[in-house]
Amino acid sequence: MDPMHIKSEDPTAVFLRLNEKFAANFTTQMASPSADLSKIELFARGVSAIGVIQQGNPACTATQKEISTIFDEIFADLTTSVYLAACALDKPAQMVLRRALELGVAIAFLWEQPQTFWGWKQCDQDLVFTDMLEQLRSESVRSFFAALNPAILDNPLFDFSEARALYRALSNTVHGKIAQFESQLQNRFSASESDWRSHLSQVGRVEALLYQLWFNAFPDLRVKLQAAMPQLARLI
Amino acid sequence: MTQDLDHEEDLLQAARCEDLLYSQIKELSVLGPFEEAVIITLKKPGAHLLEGARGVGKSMLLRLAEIDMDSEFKGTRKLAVYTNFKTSTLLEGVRAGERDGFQIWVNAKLLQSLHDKLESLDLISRSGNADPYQRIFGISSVEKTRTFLQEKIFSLQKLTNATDKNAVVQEIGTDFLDRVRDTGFLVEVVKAVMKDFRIERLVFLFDEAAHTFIPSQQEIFFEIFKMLHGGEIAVKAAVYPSVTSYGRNFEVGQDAMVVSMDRFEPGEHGRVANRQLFRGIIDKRIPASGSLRKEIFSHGELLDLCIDLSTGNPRGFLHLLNRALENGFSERAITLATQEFVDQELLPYHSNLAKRLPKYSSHVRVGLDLLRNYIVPEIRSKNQQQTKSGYQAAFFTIPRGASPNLKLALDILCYSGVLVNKGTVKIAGRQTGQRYMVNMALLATEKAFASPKLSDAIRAISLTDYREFSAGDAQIETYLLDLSESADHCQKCPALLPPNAKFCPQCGAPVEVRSIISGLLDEPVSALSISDRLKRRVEPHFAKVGNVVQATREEIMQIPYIKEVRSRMIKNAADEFISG
Repeated sequence: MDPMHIKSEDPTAVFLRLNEKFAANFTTQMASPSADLSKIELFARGVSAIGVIQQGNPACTATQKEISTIFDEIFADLTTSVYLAACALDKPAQMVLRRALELGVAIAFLWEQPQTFWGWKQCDQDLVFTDMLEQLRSESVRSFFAALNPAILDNPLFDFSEARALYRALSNTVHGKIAQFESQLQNRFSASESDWRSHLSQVGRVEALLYQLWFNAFPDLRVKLQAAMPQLARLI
Repeated sequence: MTQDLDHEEDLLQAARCEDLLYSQIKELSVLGPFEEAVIITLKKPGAHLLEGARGVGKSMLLRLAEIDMDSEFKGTRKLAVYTNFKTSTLLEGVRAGERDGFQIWVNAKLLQSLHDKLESLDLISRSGNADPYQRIFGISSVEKTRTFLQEKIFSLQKLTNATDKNAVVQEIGTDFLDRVRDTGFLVEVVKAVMKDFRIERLVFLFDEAAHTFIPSQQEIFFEIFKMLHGGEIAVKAAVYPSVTSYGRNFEVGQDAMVVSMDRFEPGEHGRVANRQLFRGIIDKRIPASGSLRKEIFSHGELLDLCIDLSTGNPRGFLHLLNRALENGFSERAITLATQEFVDQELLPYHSNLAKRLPKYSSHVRVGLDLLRNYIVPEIRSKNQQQTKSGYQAAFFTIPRGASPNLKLALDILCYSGVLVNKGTVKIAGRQTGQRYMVNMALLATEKAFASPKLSDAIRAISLTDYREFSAGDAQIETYLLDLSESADHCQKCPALLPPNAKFCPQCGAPVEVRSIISGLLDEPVSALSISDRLKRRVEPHFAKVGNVVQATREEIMQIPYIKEVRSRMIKNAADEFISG
């Protein structure tokens, strides 16, 4: 029969079939539980708990309480990133992960800059990752945080090189590099053990980096998080 | 620069296991064959009592057993539940209605520890709005809702401070109190949890319970211990020698096996092993590079001297080393540090036992007087006699049939670390006697050795050369007479009251109970076992031990230069002070 005349599927049916394919990928990845996944999921939940802690802090200003709502968004991003990767939707997973990293850094950046927050929130101003890093890395900002937390007197606020490296790798996905196009891969959109592990590792790195930043920026946070989430107490 | 040094020294100053974070305990621990064997025993089925003086490392080994079992849990389904009972002295005399507050508190604390462990291993989670999956995605991440006891625990502890205790009892609920008081109920709950979570063995690791110095609490505790243990539930407890009262129904050796923590041998072989272990401890606690490491390890012979003077006690070693470093880490500095350690820590701790053990206050005082004014001078005389061998003595013996009062006084000295009980040996007249070793630091400060060079003197110590005292020694008799004269007498008749008596053996009148805790809480912060530098920082803000006990860690962290690590050390020191 002439292939040009095969009856077209209803789009709904096509998408349902796509869903079956990605669900099958997901089931394959979940079949062998990973210790990395447990840890990553726990830390993701921790992000949400941090948001609750910060919002409940009586010393926080009204603006800082608004900024604290970002934590829940980061939790959602981390979770959906892992979910998408399990479905073998690697590129969307990495895009969402980049967002989590950016928002995580933004929390520390905006915390003592209410005017910048309101510009971002209501005046459609953008947060530029490299600019945020630059500012957080500046001597004046470092001195400010060190005054709040003497433990970071001789140490950077967090690993800036790692932040840049991660952001760059994830940005390559967002902006598209032809060498990495999913559509050109042999095992495209199929469950791959190595891709899955690689993504989990990347999520782990983002979480570790953000936790480092937040613990340094908010000195009492670690103790409060240990109390709020005993599951994390032994890992942080 | 001061802050750098402060920060570098933080781990050196964290001499208690409780001062360390969970992740630090494994990182900083140094295990020899002895320690590894103890940990294996703690993880096994059975009831065991881990016996040793303060500072020898009991808590560390309990926590290490717990950490091992936590990491293996997913595969083995064997759960370790560590419970620390410090601050139980706060419940002294507290009653919840007609019920003893302590018993209820113990059972509730066990359930709380179990709950906390399930939560820390992520076997249970918070539900409702506290569940982010519920809040954000509209799905639940918890299997079922179960109410646990957390708020009830705090209510029980509120009893200690409440002015209107009846109101608190009402709040807790009499039904709950009746159930929690029943250890049978506790066992049922534990078994149900084990079934629910497919736990094959549950090991309770009890710390700081049996030496709370309130005898009625100790007896209740061991009844609970005995009822809990059995089947898939194993129970281990850290106990102190001599001052633990097991009650009538608990038989040591039958109901639980003793695992002794005494592994210190002052002979050449033992000293070498000890040095290796203690050097390992330091190696892990100081930065890999920097002035502190250079200062300590470039003076190896001084480090070894500190180790030897600590008499095999890791906590004593860290305290001694910290003081020596403050004084400049030279031979003179160590001599000074040893003097300070004895004068400001070792002996004051022992003397303070008179407050925590009012019934034994005479034994505390007379025991120390006997040691310093008679036994040590006799050892000194012996050491100064010219002998061909040149051996030095650090031991003395008392015959087996000696006065129980004498034995108790010496045992209390063992508890506080002034003496170490080294078991039974042969003595003159084909008899056997109990051999005690005097704390090396005390012998050094009392100038009990012939040679002024301490390292030479310690090297010359003989295990078999000891000063023997006879049962009828006249000098010892005078001290024992002093003991009976200062013993408690009945208020109603002139009869002598045995230590710990609740009723007069002659007329049956009840013995007046004196509160221990109020005296302890009123002590100044300078009495705590923390560095002088920390005391100076804390005192202007919290003058008394009670103030520190009542304060939260966040409040203590408001003090300049006191953050997570040091606030933990300060709280632990205060808790230890009132708990023993």
